[in-house]
Amino acid sequence: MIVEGLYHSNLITSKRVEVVFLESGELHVSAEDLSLHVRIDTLHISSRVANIPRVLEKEGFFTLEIADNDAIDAYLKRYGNKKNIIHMLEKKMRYSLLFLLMIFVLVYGYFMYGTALIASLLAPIIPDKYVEYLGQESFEYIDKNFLFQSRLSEKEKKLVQNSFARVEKNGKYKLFIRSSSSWIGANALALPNGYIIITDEMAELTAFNKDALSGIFAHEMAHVDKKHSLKNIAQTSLSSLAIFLFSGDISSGLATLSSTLLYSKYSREFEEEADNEAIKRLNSLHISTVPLARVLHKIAKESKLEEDENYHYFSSHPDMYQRIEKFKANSL
Amino acid sequence: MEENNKFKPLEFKGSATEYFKIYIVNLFLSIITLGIYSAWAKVRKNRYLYSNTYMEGTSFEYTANPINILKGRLLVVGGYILFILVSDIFHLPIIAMVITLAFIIFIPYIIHLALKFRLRYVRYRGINFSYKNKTSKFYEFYIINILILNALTLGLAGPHNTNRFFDLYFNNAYFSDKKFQYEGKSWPFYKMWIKAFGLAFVLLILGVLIVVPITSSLKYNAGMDPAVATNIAVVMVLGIYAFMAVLGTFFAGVYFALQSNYVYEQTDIEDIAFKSEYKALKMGWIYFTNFLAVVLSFGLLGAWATIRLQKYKVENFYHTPIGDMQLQRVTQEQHSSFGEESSEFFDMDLG
Repeated sequence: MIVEGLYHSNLITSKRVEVVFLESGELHVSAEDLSLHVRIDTLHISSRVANIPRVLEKEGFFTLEIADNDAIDAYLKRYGNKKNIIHMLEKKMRYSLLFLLMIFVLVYGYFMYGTALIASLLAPIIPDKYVEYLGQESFEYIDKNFLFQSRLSEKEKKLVQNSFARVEKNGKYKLFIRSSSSWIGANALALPNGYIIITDEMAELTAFNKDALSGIFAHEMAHVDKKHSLKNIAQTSLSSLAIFLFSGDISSGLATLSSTLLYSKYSREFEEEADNEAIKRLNSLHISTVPLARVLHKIAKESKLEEDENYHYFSSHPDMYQRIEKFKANSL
Repeated sequence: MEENNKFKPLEFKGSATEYFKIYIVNLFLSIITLGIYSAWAKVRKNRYLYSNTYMEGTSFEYTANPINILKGRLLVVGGYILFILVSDIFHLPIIAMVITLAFIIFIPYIIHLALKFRLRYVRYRGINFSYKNKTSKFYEFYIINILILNALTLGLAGPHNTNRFFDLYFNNAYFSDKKFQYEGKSWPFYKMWIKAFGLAFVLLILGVLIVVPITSSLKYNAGMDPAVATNIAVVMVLGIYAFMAVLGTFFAGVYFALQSNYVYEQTDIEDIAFKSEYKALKMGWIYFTNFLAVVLSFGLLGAWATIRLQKYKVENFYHTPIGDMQLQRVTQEQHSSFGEESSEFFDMDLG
C-alpha cells in the first residue's frame, strides 16, 4: 500500500514523501533526497477525528502527516490496533440523530422527573438547622420587601389566630398576619421552617369564616409537612446546576424555558397533595371543608377563570373547579 | 513589512455536517458521564477545528491531554463546592472571605497558566508553540495596569491596558525557539474603542427610537387586570434583555474584527508577517446571526455557527511565505491545565 504524506523534521519546510506500508510492519518513507525505514510500533500515531490528517511521530526526530485515514486504519487493524469507538459513533449521521434524540429524552427526563426525584430524596436529609436558616432568611426577605403591618382589628386577629390554633396541635408552626403588597394579594404562604403567613386580604376574602381559615391553614401546614418548598428549592438548584454545567454546550434558552414551564406543573402536584392532606386533617378534626370550597370559588371568580378553562401550564392553580369539587365531595 | 512579500490566506476545510456529528456524540457522552467526558469532548472538537486549518498545505494540530483538562476542571469545581459549603451551608463568612481573597490573589497566576496552556498544545509541522514568561510580569500587569491605572483613570486606561496585554502575550510567545514580535501602540486601541462604542451608541439610539413608541402604547393603566399587566411587564423586560444581548453580540463582533486586524498587523515572527482582513460590520453580523440561530434552535445550530465563524476567521487571515527556518524540535513537558480550565469555567476567557 502506498500513500502520500508530508515529512517534517527540524526544518519548517514540508517535504512531500511517498509512504509505503510494508508487510513486515515497517514504513518506508521516501523522497528524492530521503529514504528511511521505520517500524510502525515505534511511532506515536494520532487517533482519528473525522478526516483530519493523521500525524505519525517519531519523537524528537520527525513527524509524518498523512491525509489518507482509511489506508492507515486498514494497516493498523492488521497490526492489532484497537478500534476507535468514538470515531465510529461520530462517523454516521444516523447515529448522531439517534444521540440527539437521546439527549432530548435525557434533558426532558431530567427536568421533568429527575430533578423532582432527586429533590424528594434530598429533602428528608437536609439538616433541620439549615431548613431553619432557609425559612428564617426567606421570611425576613419577604417580610421586609413585600409585607406590611396587619391592619386587622384585634378582634379579627384573635379570630384568625383561633382558627389557626384549632388545626395546629403540636406547636410546630408559627402564624404571621400581614398586610400585603399588590404583588402577593389575597394569599397564604408556608415557609420550610413552619412559618405560615396569611395576608389581611385573604382573611377578608374568607369573610372571617373560621372553618375556611382553618382549611387554608391545614393546606399550608401540609406544604410544610410534605417539605414542598424545600423540594422546590432543591429542584431549582438542581436545574440551575445542570444549566451551569452544560451552558457551554446546550443553549441556556432551552434550559430556562423548560424550567419555567415545568415548575408550574410541579407546584400543581404539590397543591393537590396539600389539598388531600388538608382534607384528612379537617375531617379528623370534624371541620367542614365546604367553607374552604366557597372561598376557592370566590378566588376563581375574582380572577375570572372560566369553568372550562384549562390551566395546565403557566399556572400553579390545578384546575380550580376540580379542587372545589374535591373539597365539596369530601366534606363530612 | 516589506511590500514585495505576497500575503496568502489560510485555508479552512471543516464542514458543518461533519462537526455537527462530532458535537452531538460528544455532548451525549458528556451528559451521561455527568460532565466528566467533556474534557475529552473539548479535545476532540478542538482537534477537528485546528486540524482543518491549513497553512501552506499543512494543518495545525491540537495536542492537549484530556486528563490535564479534567484535573483543572475538578480542581475548580472542588473549590467552588468548598466555597458554597463554607459560605452558604456552614456560614463561616471569615473562611469564605479567605477563599475569595485567595482566588483574587491567584487570578494573575491563573491567567498566566491559561496562556501557557493554550499555546503549548498547538503544533504546526510537528513543532510546538509556547509561552515563556515570568509569573511576576503578570502580577505587575495586574497590579499596575488593571488595579491602579484603571482605578485612577476611571477605566479610561482600558484601551492602553489592552495593548499592554497583547504586548505581554505576543512578545513572550514562541514558535520553537523563535519569538513573536508585537509592536502595537495604545492610541489605535483608543480609536477602535471610539469606533465600536460610537456604533453601539448609534444602534442604541435607533433601538430606543423603536422600543419607546411600542412600550408607551402598552402603558399600564389602573383598571388593568394584574395578570395581564404582569405579562406585559415580563415581555417588556425580556424584550429589553434580548435587545441588549443582540446589541452586545453585534458590538463584540465589530470590536473583535477591528482589534484583530490591528493586532495581527503589528505581529510577526522572523520575517513572516501576518494580517487579517475582517470586515467589522460583517463580523458583527456573523456574531449576531450566530447568536440568534443558536438561541432560536435551542443549540441545535451551535455546530453550524462555530464552523461558520471559524471559516470566516481562518479564510480572512493572511501571512507572508514561511520560507525555511531552521528550528529546534522542543520536547513537550506535561503541565497542569488548571489555568485554562478555571478561566473557561468562570467565563473570563481572554484574547
